[in-house]
Amino acid sequence: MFKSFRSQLIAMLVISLALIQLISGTVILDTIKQDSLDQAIKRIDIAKKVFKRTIDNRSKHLSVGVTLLASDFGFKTAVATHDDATIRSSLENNANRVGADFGILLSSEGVTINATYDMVYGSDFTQLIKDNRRRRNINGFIEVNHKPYQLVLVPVKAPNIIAWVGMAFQMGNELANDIKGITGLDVSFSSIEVDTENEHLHDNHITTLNLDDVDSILSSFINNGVDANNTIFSNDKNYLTSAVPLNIKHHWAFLHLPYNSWIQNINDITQRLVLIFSIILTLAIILSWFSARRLLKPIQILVSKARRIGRGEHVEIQPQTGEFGVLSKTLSGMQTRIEKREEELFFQASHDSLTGLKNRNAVEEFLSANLNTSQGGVVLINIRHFKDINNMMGFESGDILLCEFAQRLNSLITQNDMVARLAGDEFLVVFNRQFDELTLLKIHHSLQNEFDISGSKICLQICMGALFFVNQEDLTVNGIMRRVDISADEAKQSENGIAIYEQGQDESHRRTLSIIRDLPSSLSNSQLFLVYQPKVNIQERRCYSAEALIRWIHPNLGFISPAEFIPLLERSGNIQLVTKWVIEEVCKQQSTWLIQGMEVQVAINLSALDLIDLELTSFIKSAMEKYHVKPSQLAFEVTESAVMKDTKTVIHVLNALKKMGFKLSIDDFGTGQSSLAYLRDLPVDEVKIDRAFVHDVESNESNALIVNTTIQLSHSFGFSVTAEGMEGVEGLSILEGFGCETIQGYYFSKPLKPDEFLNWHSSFSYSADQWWKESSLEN
Amino acid sequence: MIYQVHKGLIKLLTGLILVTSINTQAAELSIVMTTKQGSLLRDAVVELTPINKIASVNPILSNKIISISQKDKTFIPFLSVVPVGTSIDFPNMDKTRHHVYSFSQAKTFQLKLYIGKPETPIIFDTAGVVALGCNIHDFMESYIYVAQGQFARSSNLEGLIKFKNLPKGEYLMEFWHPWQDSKEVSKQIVMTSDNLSIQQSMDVYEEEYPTNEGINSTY
Repeated sequence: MFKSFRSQLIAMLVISLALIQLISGTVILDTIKQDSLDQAIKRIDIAKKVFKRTIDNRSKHLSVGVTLLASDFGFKTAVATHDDATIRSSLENNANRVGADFGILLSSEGVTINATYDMVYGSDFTQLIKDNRRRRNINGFIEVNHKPYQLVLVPVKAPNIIAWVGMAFQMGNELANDIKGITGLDVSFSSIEVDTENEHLHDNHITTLNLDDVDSILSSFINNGVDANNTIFSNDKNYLTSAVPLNIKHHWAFLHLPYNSWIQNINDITQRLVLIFSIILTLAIILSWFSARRLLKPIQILVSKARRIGRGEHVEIQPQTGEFGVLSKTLSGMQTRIEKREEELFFQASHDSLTGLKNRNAVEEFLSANLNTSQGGVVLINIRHFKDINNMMGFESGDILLCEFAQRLNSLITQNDMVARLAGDEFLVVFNRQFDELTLLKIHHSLQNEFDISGSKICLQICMGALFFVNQEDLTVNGIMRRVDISADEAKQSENGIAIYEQGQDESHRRTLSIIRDLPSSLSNSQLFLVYQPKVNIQERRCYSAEALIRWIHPNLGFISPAEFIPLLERSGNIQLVTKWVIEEVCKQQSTWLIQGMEVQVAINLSALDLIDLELTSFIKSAMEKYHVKPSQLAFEVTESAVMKDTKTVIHVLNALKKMGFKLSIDDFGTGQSSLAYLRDLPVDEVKIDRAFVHDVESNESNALIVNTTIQLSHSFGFSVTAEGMEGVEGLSILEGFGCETIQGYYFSKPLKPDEFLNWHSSFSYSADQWWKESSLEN
Repeated sequence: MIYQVHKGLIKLLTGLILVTSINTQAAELSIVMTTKQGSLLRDAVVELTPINKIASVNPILSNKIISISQKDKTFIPFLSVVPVGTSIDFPNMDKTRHHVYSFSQAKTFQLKLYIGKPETPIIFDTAGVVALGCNIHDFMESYIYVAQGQFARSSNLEGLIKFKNLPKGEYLMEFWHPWQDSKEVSKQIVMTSDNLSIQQSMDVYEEEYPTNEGINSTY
């Protein structure tokens, strides 16, 4: 709510004003309250004096009457002669005359001799007389029958004191009303006694007030510690009360000042103060609102300008005066500096810092802006062996060379075209116009001319991959870069160093990439699986072995032939991963089959890369141990070409495998360029004749000859022979006739999944002869 | 018993000898009366009563007539100490009438509204204190101390009481003052041929004299 400076300013003003008002209001009210209390107390004090004066006056009035009686000779005579009847009638007469409640005669020692009120005999006056043993009048208070009385005692002198005669007034309603009439204050007379349990009790109220009110006032008087100096409020604050002790134990007079009119007065003042303060506060808010607006206007202008600068707009800032002038000047300076810096940043972001050419970002932006053109194209230029040049000449000279190179390249193009440095020795030219191979050749030629770098003449080998936009579908910046990359790769392979992208290269490239990329994951999520093709021993008409073949069904690309992905994997170096997977899978399958009661030897294909892997044997061993597979259950097949690559290592590995007890075969025999003599040195047991010779052995005589010869030769080296790819029953008898031991082909079965293979195997072992019967039938 | 009488007779005889030989063996008792606060006290009465003296049993009645006059509405003197049987006149020196009265037990009497000298003096024949007042003038006040024996004196303005030529022997000493707060306890003293000085304090309240005029001059 108070985020803006303006509202903070206003809030601060208003709060401080409110605080000042609150404090001054409190002080004023406090003073008024204190003042009125002081006045009230003063009034009570005056009333107290009036009260005492009234009492004094009464006693004086009484004294006169009693003195008259005391000095009456007849009365004196009656007292001296103990004439009780006369005394009593005198007392009564005199009491009536002065309006006293009772008359009393005491001995000179204070013992009651006679009284017009019988309850008086219960009271003891000796102490009173003793305390005032003088020949003068005694004005005092006594308690008779628990009620306070004002008493005047006068000595009866003859002329020595022979007795005391007294008259008493009750401290009653009459007196209370009298005093109220004079002072305007309410009056109560009460006794306050301390009982045995130290509790204060009050009683005998004579009051001009409501009795309940007096009760509560007395309770708080007692609570405040019974003291004449206390001035206390009643609970409802309607009365302010002060006490006057009556010179008799426990008896008090109370003067009550009605205070509610005073309180009403204070409340009126409070209300008026609140009203005045509210008005002042409201005015202050309105005033500060407008003045803050006026004060803050320059700032608000600057704030809006700063906001626009923040959005990147260019703003004219008028100079202002005072502090705001400094601010506006600073703001405008800031704007210029920001703009300058922005330019620099933009340049750096779009240019190569070394050569000053555009960078990859800039060229990609440029391309995306010019995608719609079917004209033009891009050329990716690489300097061959630039690393070597750098190493030879030093990076500094390398950098100079790059700059020279960039300059020359820049000079070869027109203004509409663009040249950028993508990375180290990689440059890209974007043509916005039609260009052709000739242009490429010109550029190539010009760039191959020698450079003079600090005295050394250097000729560069340049390769250029080009992409023409013509006929290219769905061009995107990424697509363009990928395709021109492909053609640049190709240019590196080509002789003249120039390659132009051809339609479809991109797609096959992408398929290749996805195959290489997806293989590792395919192993785990069973896209790859193994099938088994039986190898039938035709002499014994039994199936003892099978070849494990790998299959891949890619979720997007579908079935991928091993002929496609195996070479890719060999190239990418992933083939060992696959081989190991196959070995493990086969071992696992063998253990399953063994449980299912089938014993068959499974041959695994090893690639050339596997054969130079010296760790292969240990891996095989651990896999066999894991699944409890015997060496006789496994065989390995190696292609002729694989053997040819690194003969020494291959033979070493093969020997190791041989030693472990595996059967080894030469696969695809006849397709390579190997000499037969070379076969002799290999530690293999079997030769597999490629299907190219076998599949038409019954019809192609020359193939039949090759097959026959190969079989015979192999036998002479001590190798058994497997013929691959026999498809018809016709070939069976021919191959039998050639002395071929084993046949693997579609005639017996295509490669089968493990369960299918199990079924096939059992049915074949029961009815093997039927295969030959069919052939004889056909014959 | 005989011995006692005999012994008493001897004592009486020696007393007589002592009285007769006063001139040569004057034993004087002087008493200084003070208040409890220490200021000198006037109008204090001291009465000495010889112990075991037969002579005191039958006091010789005094034939002397003294007067207590009323002058300027004041009894003069304020205090009179007299032996039993003394007759007192009450001459009125003022032009107004006075009504002298007493309600005291020792002597109750009234001299109603007279001018000049009443016809007969009043005889105070009972020992005790008599308070005199005037019915017309309440403030008038006077006291008569009627003593049992002959050894009674009142203190002067300096609070001094002197008994001259006091016979040897044991005495009971009693004190009284018109404004005494409480009665002072009696004492016993023994007089030898030596002079004796005593200081005695009394518990009295302060009171103004009815009037100062006349009293002071007479005293």
